Amino acid sequence: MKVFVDGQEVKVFSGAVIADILRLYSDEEYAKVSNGDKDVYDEYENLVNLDGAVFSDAKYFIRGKK
Amino acid sequence: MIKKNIFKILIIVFLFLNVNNFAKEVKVVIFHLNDIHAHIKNLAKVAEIVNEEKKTNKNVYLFNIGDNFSGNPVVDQYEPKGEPLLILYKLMKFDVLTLGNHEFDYGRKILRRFILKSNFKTICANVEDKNGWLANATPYTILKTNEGIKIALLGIIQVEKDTEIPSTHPKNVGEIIFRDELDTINKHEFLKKENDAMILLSHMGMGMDVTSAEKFGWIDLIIGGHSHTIIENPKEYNGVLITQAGAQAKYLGKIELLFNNKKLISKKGSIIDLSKVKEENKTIKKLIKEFNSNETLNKVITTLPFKITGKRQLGNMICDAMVAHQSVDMAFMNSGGIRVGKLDKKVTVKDVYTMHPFSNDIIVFYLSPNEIRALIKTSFKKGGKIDLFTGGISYSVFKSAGTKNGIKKIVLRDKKGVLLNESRKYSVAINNYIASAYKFKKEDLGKSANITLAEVVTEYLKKTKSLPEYKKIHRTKIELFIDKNTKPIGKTRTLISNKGIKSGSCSAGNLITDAFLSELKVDIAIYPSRNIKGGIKIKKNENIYFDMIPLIYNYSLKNKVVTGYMKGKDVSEFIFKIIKFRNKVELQVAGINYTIKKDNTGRVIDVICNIGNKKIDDNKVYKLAFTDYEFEKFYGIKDKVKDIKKSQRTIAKIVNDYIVKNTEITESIDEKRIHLSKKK
Repeated sequence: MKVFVDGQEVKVFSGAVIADILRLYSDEEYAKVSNGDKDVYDEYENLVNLDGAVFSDAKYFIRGKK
Repeated sequence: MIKKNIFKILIIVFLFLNVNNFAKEVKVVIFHLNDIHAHIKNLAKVAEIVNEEKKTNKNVYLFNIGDNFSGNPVVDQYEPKGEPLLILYKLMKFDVLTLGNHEFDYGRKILRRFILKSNFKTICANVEDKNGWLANATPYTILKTNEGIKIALLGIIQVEKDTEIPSTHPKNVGEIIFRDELDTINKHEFLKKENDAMILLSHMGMGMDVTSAEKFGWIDLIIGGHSHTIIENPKEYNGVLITQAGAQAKYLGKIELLFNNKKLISKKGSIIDLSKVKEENKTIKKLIKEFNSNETLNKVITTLPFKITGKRQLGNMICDAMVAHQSVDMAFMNSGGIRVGKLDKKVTVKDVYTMHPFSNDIIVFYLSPNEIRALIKTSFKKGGKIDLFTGGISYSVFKSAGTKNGIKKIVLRDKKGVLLNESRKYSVAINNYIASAYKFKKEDLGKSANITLAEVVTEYLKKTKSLPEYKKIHRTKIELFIDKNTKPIGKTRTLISNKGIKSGSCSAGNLITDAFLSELKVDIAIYPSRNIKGGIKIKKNENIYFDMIPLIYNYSLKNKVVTGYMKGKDVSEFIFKIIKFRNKVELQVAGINYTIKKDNTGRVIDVICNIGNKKIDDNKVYKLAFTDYEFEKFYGIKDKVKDIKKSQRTIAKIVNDYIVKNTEITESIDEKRIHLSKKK
């Protein structure tokens, strides 16, 4: 399936979680999120956990801590 | 008199109206948790919050939006599986549970038992279960408050479009049929008409919750799960309020519904961050403590005929477990995912989870041999050595100087030793970390098997009666690719390798420092241990080719050697400083030998440098040779070294010239130049 991280398409295996798509998107950004320096939000402006399931065509955004 | 009577009547009317008004306005409080995934830590806090609310309001409910299992061995490996949750939930008095995909992870039998033994209602509407695996679960349930308000609760589970089952292993759901989520919701509009409010308990994830809200505006509230979304301030979509409370019981969701004359007039939601809550229910807390210290994890699950030692053996065993469990052609396991050095003969559940503490799922891909090679090449980029262990396949990486990543070719063989068929695809199991962190080209995007590696290994060790002797199994190999058209530069009478490097000198270290000493006419030569690679060795009585040098010594062909003069005192201080900083044998040497003294805690406390049998002369000036990169970047001794010069020749050329001159490398490189001694 494909999802979008910060507008960039990421192709990922079915059953992936947020951590997987971040690693595929950028090792650097993944490190920042897992270290707690940044957070991931869904397209509805909600915070999502690294172990949260991802959905086909969903859009996610990486942002600095609020 | 008339005035008095009117006054009395007014008072009675006033009281009647107010009493009636009070009776009409009813507040319903719903607490909700989703995706607990066996994380029981905060459940005592949840119980306390719910019980406190119940003291002031009789319409308080506790909902569970699915995915209770899988995520904590304390619960997942309990016998019977999941039992701690059942005991805790019954005490916490959950009212309703809707099924999530992970409810099926332990299989249908265990789920059936869980539902039957519970004291709460289980619901799921988009499921057809002719054989009664889901026991007394129903599509929906109706809550009735004491005031007669009826709230319909409809349960929906996510269904994958391609497999038409929830995200779990197909064998877990068996013959149970799952129906389209939206179609099912659509068929239940009557619930809204027959009741005062309609709540969807959705284990579909945030995206599908919004879609449902947009399609079915008659739903009042969606309480969600599956996407682990932390909705701090729930919002309405098409008039439907959507909420979800993260995962792992880190947050507790709270909804307040206000009814007036049975009409829903207000709905609002929030989440409570349980890390900020201190009060805990004592009974639940005590039980959680007992579960956490339960002997289940320390129970021996198998007694091996031998220890499984080292990452290679452990990695191969893990891969065999994946191959057996998933019935795939082959499996790969990354070295970094193995967090222990060995498994003793008696293996406990805790040992398996310590070996692989990550909740990594298994992902299955269909890959061509070239795609498998791409995966192996990617793994080599991470450290230039074998990083992926295997099951069902063996591979040899042929390395050669001057090629990309030093890899000339990769030969793949199946478990029978037959070369892989280049025109077919193979089923390959890897963990989700490899699937996302090792970026390699492949057509198939892969699919999760929805089971963790630790669970698979636990099951494998429990069930498998005889394991192969992993010590004798070598499935991965690095070989040197030698161009037959080139001539050897010499021969060796002894093994050239990094053997012994962790505790002292090694033949490869002695050879390169001897080359510096002889070719650059210095008194002392230094070479960093970390730049001698493992895996590559030149066997006794073998020819030595120029291509082998940059493969043994971790240098580019451009690196050179720096020479200069130092006082004996400064040499001793430099060696001590480096060894102490790294707290290990960091320098290979020639022209000098040294003894490392450690205290009882293993800390380096002194290094004694000798030239032959005598202590180095503090005041004498010696000529030294260092590798240029370390000298310039790390050693920090430029001010102590006089007359610094860089060699014209590269490191590889210096070693080459030394071997060519000597024609044969002798056993002198086996000399012990570094000694360890413990000091009390």
